[in-house]
Order: sequence, then structure tokens, then C-alpha cells
Amino acid sequence: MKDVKAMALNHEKVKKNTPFERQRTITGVCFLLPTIILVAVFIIWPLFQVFNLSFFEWNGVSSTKRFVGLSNYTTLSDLPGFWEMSWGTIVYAVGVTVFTIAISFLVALFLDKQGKARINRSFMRVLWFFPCLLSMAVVGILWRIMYNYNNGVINTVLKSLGLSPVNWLETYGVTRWAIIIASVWTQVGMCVVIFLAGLQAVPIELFEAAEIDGANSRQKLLRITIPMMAPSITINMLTTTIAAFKMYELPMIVSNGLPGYNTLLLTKKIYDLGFTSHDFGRGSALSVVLILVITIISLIQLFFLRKREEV
Amino acid sequence: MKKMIAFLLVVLVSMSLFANGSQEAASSASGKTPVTLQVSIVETDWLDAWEDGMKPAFEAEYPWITLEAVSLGEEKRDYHATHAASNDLPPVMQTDVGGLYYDLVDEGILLDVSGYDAAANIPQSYKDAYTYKGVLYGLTQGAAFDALFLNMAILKKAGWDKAPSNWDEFIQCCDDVVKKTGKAALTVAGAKNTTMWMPFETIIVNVLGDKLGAGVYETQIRSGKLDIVSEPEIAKRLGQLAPYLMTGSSQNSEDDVTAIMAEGSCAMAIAGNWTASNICSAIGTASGAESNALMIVPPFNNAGKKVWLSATPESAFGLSKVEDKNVAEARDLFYNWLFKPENFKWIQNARGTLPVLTDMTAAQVKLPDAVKVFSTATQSANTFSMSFNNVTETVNNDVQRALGDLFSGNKGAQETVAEIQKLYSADPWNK
Repeated sequence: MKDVKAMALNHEKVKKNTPFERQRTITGVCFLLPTIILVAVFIIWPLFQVFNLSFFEWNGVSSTKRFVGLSNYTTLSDLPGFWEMSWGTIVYAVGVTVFTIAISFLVALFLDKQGKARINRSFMRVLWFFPCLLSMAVVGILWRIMYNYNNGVINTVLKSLGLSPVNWLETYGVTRWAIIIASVWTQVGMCVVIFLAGLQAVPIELFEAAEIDGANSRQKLLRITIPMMAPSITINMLTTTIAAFKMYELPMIVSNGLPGYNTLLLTKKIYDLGFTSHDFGRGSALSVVLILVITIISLIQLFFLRKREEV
Repeated sequence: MKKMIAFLLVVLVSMSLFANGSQEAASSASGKTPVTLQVSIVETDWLDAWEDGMKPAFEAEYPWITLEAVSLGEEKRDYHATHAASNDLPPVMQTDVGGLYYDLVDEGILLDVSGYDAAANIPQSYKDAYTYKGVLYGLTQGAAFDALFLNMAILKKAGWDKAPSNWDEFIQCCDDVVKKTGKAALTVAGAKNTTMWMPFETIIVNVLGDKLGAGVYETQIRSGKLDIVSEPEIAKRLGQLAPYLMTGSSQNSEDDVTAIMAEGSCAMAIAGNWTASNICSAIGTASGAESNALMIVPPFNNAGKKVWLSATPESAFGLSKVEDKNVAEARDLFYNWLFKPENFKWIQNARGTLPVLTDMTAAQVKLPDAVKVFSTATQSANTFSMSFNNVTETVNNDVQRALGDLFSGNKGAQETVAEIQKLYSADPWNK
């Protein structure tokens, strides 16, 4: 057995040393090089710079930076409203992810149905995807106008129904949900498209076999559809969570982070630290923390979702 | 089809060559190299004056220079901070007091403009506000005050034929408006920190001003030593004011305030005098006549006491260091041109602010009637310097947040005052 292994390894070595293989490797590297350079210059280098900057005190203008060690990290919790912002960011990310995935899955199931609904499927798909085409600034302004206490359309409808108007943008708790609703609205479309692609890839024979075995709709959903959709769920969960943690414009435009620090997400605080307080060191430190949080959460999600895919 | 596309391309290329040729012809006539000069304009309320008056007039006089407005409508400091970090600041830029602009002076990026002709006709007090470490780094575009705008048509319905003249009358007036007309009493542009600070700061200084004396409020708040907690009258007055703020005020932009006043759903607004033209005409729209618009110094004084008024030089124009000789020449030409009264009048009139150039004639300044009356009243008031001259930008924003909580009913006045005290004591301007 050992001899066979050794022979195979030797064969691989000989194979790699041939001029043809060498040329193939060089060609491969040449093809990869532009991408490697782009990734290195625009992703790796800036990341390294942010990490490096997080150990310095720098106002963004001065030609000198002062090394401060870990103090930019240790003083983060001294920022006014830091814990409220951190908690707010987590609640926002979880809320957006859960509701986006749940709603988009249901919408995809509905759109995938055969029969009469199929006639309008393309139109409905376009309709659901439409918010994804709008820029966040436009979406933000749109929802800000709709949430306006005095003459926003939502309160106008509430008042016409005899209900009390809601102070959407100045009430603790309510404003956070107002932001989550707006974010879900923008992100559902993309997830629906991915779920639809996943649903259409499920072999019809599985459903036919299940029907012959007497499975009802609920059983088919739980035993066939959801397990077969695991890769789509993984992709949607990961991208939505990352997008939620990175969200910046929407809460800023809709509520300006108010009331208090309730809807002020960490991304906005990073910007404020750098470009409003001119404290690029602490801004970078908070960026590094956020990168780490996103990475850890993504890895945990990936671990569990992949496990489910394997099952 | 292919021939048609080719023909269209030829036409397009020829047209672009012709356009370029005509630009070169204009520049060769003057013997100058064509230059595009970037001017950072952030306050867009005089954008029409820029597009219709200033830009064409300057380009007609200096045909080889093309003016390009950048950073329109953005937050000034944010725009300049990002561009300073990437070494890409516009040659002519609007500046503010403190923070980033002091850093830019320290680095020699913002130039000393004291030697320019433009500086000759600006009063010394305005120059002092924009002097840091002996460097005059900006010439102001106006004089800013906070003001109370009143829709007298609504006030009359509430039983007020004339404006309130002190704090107690003001609160009574607010109460009467709400109870007798069903309208909101007061609003403010809470989304902008300068305007959100106005009612708060005006209360503080009218309570403490006489005791402290002129200039002491500024010194104490800059050093983080101003004590607002042990003066219960401050929290009391904030508590009295908060219920009369229209719901949604903490989220209002200045445009929202104008819209609210135009709807006639609110009787009074605290706002900067730079929005006077807009708000007065909005009140005119709501009430049927602009004569119903009244602009007064906020009557936050005790009865029989002289009122304290928040005042400051507005944003200024500064110059940044430029390597290219042609651009530097164009920058200097534009700067001196801008501060000539016949050109500066566009900004002055569009913003409805009080004249800052000493050589402007009465014919060159056109102010709304309400502003003229206000202008006279400011002369008999004690003045203090507005928030952004005295606190860091971080404190400025965090206090705005705390006031938002107070005015939207999320927190009480005492809690808010204690929170604000902590904020500026922890991060004073003079560290």
C-alpha cells in the first residue's frame, strides 16, 4: 500500500516538473495576477492600514501620528452611548436578517406556486425586486417622508382610520422598528430572487415521490423544500447579516440616529469619529472591532448552516 | 445603420473639437491658460445667486477661468475632512471656527488671507473670530443671530396683538396658542445642531448672563467649567418649554420648518436669521400677507431685564494651498472679486443676513422688512457666541441628541441638563 502511495507521489512530482505543467502554472498565475493585485491594493492594503491606524492618534490632517498602543481600543467604551449603539446595531442586524429571510422565503414560495399565480409571476417578481434598484438615499428619504409625524402618509392613514398617529421617528423602540421595516423592504427583493432560483432547482421527482408516499404539504415543505434550499438559505443569511452590520445610510437618513443613540449604528459612529471628531485612531479601532464581530458571526453562521447542508 | 452610427460619431467628435477650439480661442484672446477653479459651496440657500449671478458675471470678466461649485449641500466639515485626508481640498472653501480648520491652519493648508484686498472691508470683530494663532484663515459671509419668527395671524387668534416681551409672557403665549387655536406653539430645526442649540443656549445665557457678565459664558463652556446643574432655573425653563415644541421638531430640517410655517400649523419658530427670507415668505403664504411675519430677538429674558442674544460670524471663505501657479492666480482673482460689494451683494441678499462689508451701500442691500426691524433690535441686546464656537463637534452633536430626547418627551429636563453637563465637561474645547 505504501509503495502505491509513494509511486503516486513520485508520479505527481514528475508530472509537475514537465515543461507543459510549468507553463500551465505560469499561465494560471498570470491570469490570477490582476485579481491578486486588485485585491491586495484595494482590500488587503486598506485593511492593514486601518489596523495599523488603530494604534495611533491622528486627526486626519497632521503629518505626524502619535503611537498610543491599545488605548484606542480600551477607551471605546467611554464614548457616550457606546453600549446603546452596540446593542442597537445587534438588534438591528438580527431584526433585519430574521425578517428579511422569513418574508423573502414566504414570498418566494408564493411566487413559485404553479397554476393561476404563475400568470403574474414575472410581474410580481419585478415588483418585489424593484426596491433593490433604488439607492439607499432615495429609500431613506422616501421612508422619512412617509414616517413624518405631522403629514406622513402612514399617520394620515392611521388618522383616517380613527387611530392615533404614531411618533415614528422620536420614540424609543418604535424608531428602531421603523428603520428595520425600511431595511427589510429594500433587501427582501434580492433574497427572493436567490430563493426562487433555489426552489426551481429542487427536482420535481422528489415531490412526486413524496406525494405517492402520501406526504402532505407541510411535510413536503419541512422534509424536502427547506432541506433542499439549505445552500440558498446559507447565502441569504450570510449576505443579509453582513449587509445589516455594514448598514450606514438608511438609519442616518431616516432617523439621523435618534432618539438618543437608539438608531445610531456603529458604522455611523465610525464615520463620526473619523470625519466629525477627527479621531481617526479610535474610528479605525472601532472599525477593526466591527470587522472582527462580522467575521466571527459569519463564521458561526457558516459552521451551523454548512452542517445543516451536509445533513 | 452602421453608416448612420459612424456619421453620428463623426458629428459628435467634430462638435467636441469645435467646443474645445472655442474655449482655446477665448483663452488665447486673453493670452491665459484655461483654468477650472473649484469653489466649495455648502450652504445651498444662495445657489440660485451663484448660478444666475456670480458665476456668469465672474466668467464674463475672466473668460479663461471656469468656476466649478463642489460639495453642494453636504456637511461642510465632513466634506472638508474627507478631502483633507486625501489631500484634495478645493482652492476656495467655506470654513468654520475651530476643529478641523484649526488643524488645517496648523498644517499650513489654510492660508493667511490678511494681505488680500478682500480683507480690507471686513470689521475687525469678524476677523478676530476667524483668527487662529495669528492667522486670518477666513472672511465671513454674514452675521448670524438666532431669532424668533412669529405668525401674528395665529397669535392674534390666541389673543396676542403684540409679540411677547419676556420669558413669562412667551410661555403664556405658547399656552394660549395651543389652548385657543389648537395649533402647535413652537418649532425648531432640530436636525441641525446650530438651530437645536438655540433655545437651550438662549435659556442658559438669559438665566446666567447677567450674573456672569459678557464673554464669561464662552470662556467657561470652552473650558468645560460652566455649571448648569446647580442653577435650577435652567432645567425649570427647559421643562416649561419642552411641551410646547411641535411633535417631530427634533427631526426637522430647516426646510421642514419653512414648510411647517407655510402650512400654518405652528405659530412660532426659533431659527437663524439666515433663513429669514424663507420663513417670512412662508408665514406670508400661510396667513395671506407677509406683514403677518414678525422676527424678534427671542424674549427669553426676565421681565425688566435686557435680553441676551446668540450671535456669531457665519461661515467664512478661506483659501487652501495650491501648487499650480495658474490655479493659484485664479483663486486669488476670484477671492478679491467675491468680496467686492457689487458681487458680494448676491450672497448677502439671498441669505437675508445683515451686511458684513463696511463698503456696501444701502442700495446694494435688500433685506425683508422683518429683518430690518430685527436688525435694529439686535443693537440693544447683549450678545454671546453660538455653540459651535465654544464646544467640540462631538459635544455639539451629542448635546443635540440629548435635547432631541428632551423636546420629544423621552427625557425630563433635569436629566437632560445633567447629561449635557457631563458631555461638555468630559470633552471641553480647551483640552
